[in-house]
Amino acid sequence: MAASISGLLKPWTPRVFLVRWSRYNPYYLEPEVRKEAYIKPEAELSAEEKEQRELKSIRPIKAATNDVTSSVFSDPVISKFVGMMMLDGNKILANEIIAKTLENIKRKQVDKYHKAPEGMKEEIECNPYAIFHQALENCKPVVGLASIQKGGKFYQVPIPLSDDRRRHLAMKWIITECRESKHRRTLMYEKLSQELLAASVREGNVIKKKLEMHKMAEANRAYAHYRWA
Amino acid sequence: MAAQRGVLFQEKVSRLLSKQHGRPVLKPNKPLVLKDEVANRRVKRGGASCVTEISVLMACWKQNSFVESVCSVEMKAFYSCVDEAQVC
Repeated sequence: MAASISGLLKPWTPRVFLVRWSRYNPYYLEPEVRKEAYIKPEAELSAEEKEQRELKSIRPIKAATNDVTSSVFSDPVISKFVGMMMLDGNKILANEIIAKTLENIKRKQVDKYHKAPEGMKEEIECNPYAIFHQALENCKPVVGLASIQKGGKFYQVPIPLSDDRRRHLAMKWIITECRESKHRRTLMYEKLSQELLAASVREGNVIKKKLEMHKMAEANRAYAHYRWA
Repeated sequence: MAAQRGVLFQEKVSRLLSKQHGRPVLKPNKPLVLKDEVANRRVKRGGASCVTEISVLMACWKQNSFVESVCSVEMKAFYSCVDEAQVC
């Protein structure tokens, strides 16, 4: 839709200058933050990439938000997780919690590494980002349930989910699990690190929740034909 | 030929609008001009796609008591089916 609209619209300069609004004229392009995209010399670019560069030199570009950085430490998945964990706009606190979580994971893994016998040392993953991504991957459900009305009754129908929806569900489950079922005195980062380490080896309550979702979908597989029927 | 038909049609419309041939048959409140876009139609509900893939995957799950690592082939087939369904 944006492509068709941008064919009709011309670049206009609004009276109020857009700095960091979320609604832009579809004519504006997304900013490219990664350094790798600019390091490539002219010769190595394919035809499409050359076209893209041409376009970028002509068209206006949206202002980058504060979240995106070109540093090696910024990870869009972690940024999304931080945003989901944030309460009342307190992103500083959410960021601190995630930082402490990753540090905690690293400490536990390094501890395990030093205590492990020689043969087992290579298998222990010490990179907390890798553990986070693995845990998230393991928590993503494959099929989801949708409530579809047919003949006056509502049935739970198994449907395929989009990638964004699956990632959102995985993150939401992790956060809800860590908020609700923890001891009163356990801090969030401690509980989060425990859950992430468990999820990366396919144990723990979040994996159980995902399996329950799969079992429900399997139980209702007869209704799969009700999708938009 | 199409041009002639167009002209004849315009003449018919002007006859229906004019007051010289008795009462006008048409009394439009907006100008009789076609728009250059179609109105939003209700989204047609498509058929259920990838049902076979889902059922195969679930049979695999049932057999292996929901262990995921065993059913990787069926999962890949399911994901490829979903991608194709999304694209079209």
